[in-house]
Amino acid sequence: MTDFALKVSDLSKRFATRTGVVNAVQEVGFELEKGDFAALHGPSGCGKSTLLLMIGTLLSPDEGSIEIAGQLPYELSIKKRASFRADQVGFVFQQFYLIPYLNVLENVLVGELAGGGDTEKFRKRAETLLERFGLSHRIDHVPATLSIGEQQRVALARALLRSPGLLLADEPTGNLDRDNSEVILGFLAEFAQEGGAVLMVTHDDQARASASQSMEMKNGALLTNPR
Amino acid sequence: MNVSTLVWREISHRKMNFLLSVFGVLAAAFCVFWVISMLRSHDLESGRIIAQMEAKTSADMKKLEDDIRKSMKGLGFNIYIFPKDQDMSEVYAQGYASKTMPEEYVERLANSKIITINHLLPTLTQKLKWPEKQRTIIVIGIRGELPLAFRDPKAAMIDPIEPGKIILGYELHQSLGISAGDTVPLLGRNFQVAECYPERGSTDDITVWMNLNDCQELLNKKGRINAIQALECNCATVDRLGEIRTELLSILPDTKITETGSTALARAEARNLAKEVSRKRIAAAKANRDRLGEERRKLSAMLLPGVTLFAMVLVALLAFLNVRDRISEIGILQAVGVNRTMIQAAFLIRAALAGFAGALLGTAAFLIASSLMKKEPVFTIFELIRVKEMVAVLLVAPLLAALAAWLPSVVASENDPAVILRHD
Repeated sequence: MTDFALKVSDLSKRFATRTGVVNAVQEVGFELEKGDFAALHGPSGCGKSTLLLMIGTLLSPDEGSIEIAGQLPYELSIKKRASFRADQVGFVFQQFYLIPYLNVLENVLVGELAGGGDTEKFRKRAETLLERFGLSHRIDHVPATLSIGEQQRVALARALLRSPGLLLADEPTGNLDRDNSEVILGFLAEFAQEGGAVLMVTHDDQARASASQSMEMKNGALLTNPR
Repeated sequence: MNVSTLVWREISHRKMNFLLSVFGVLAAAFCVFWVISMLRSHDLESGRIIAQMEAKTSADMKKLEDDIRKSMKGLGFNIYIFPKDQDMSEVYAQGYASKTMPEEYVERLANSKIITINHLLPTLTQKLKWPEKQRTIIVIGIRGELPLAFRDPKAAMIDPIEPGKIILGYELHQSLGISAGDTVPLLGRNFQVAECYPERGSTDDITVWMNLNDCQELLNKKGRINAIQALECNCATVDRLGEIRTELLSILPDTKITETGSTALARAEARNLAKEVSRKRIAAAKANRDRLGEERRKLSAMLLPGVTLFAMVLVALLAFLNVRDRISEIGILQAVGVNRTMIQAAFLIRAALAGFAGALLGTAAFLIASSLMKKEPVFTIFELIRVKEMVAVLLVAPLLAALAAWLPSVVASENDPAVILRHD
């Protein structure tokens, strides 16, 4: 039996605009197993981020289905889907989206607000992640005092707080220099090696090269499938 | 990490937005307290003023009554002396006594050592038909004032009329075309008109005054009178009529005495008049205070909802601005699985805290301001504002602030994270 972390089937998404309907994502289907680190690339506006958000259970598809860890999240209620997302999916974005008034530890612990779990366990997990990402000395600092690389590592730690099975990264190295990019890509690879699945949207060749698989999108359709 | 930490950190980060919300609620709470205290102060002040006026009136009335009693006691009073067998109902009905008594009675009084009477006026009065003029007239014979033998002479209260002369009332001389100096016949005798009186609007206008002797002759009542007026009587005791009656009856046992008008009645009338004036003054003051209070209440009825609405609109606008500033934060919170209820709660708790802080500071500001503004407070602050009203404001303000932030919080929680987080 294949141990899928993610299974996407015939996924489509359309947006109505003033000039007509835009097919952002068209009949996309692929699967990721645990331990997969897939890179998704393609030109700007090809639908990569839309696909990522649909997989991340933040944007309902018009057609097709998504299965994460054996669950169909869009069949869940909004509240249960949020809880499911908290436990199963981690996000890393190009802009980091750190909350400016929380310190590093609190930013990592934001996922705790989703509910469930033990406060003390979350705290230990956050401290472990920050130590692993070399941020133990920055634990009380607010994002504005951190370097860009440090901010992205904090965002990565936040994504991993609840030990999700699937990590979705949208241009995670887009704002980083080569050294910091290497660090982040290394952590993503480690996450995959530890049994997680990573789907990374990127323009960056260096990032693409770090992935174990690569998919290309154009005009909302998947041109190449990792399998 | 919990929602209260998130709210507290956010408030510390975006102080200005929060402080403006607090200020809005503070201003509204201050206004609410100010309006309540103004209205209550007015009511209490009105009650105090009216109570003071009533107390003062009561004291004034007592003093006035005492003053009237004293002054009336000092003033003389008038009595009539009638024949003992005179039916008084007849006197009240026709205005004079039908019975007569000897004129010598007045001599006896004048020669007595009576000390309670200052002036003595014997009269003979009768209503009759003036045959020469076909008129009903009242004839009064007067003798002039008799000096009291054992008293210092006093200024006469009425001048005597010379024999053969008469004085005519207004109606008589006007209708008959008679002037002073004319000679007119009366009961077969000619009299010279000494004087014509101006209009008095009483039986005086149909009265003919003449010398008492002439009158006695005309009426065939020689040596008779039917009344003695004793004027400006004085007594030391409260029961002065009793005192004077005792003294008079010892001299003239065949007479009866009546007072012309009761001093007790006059005193009561004066007291009632003063009381009525005071009552009207108090009622006018109360009506004025009530009218002013009503005007203030009407103003408050507009002001209170106005300031409350102003504060709520301000809180709502600031909450909308806060949502706009935190849009990416909302997106990432949704991305990490924080549900909409929790996001909404974060905004509502923030608004409620602003409401509570504003109400608390508004209460404090009012207490400080009111203590600074009144150097000698007439009323204590807790007479003007009750503790339960302060508690109510502290409870209601957070609720209203949360209500004002409801729509912004819904907008925040309904934000589409895909729109916020998608960038390609």
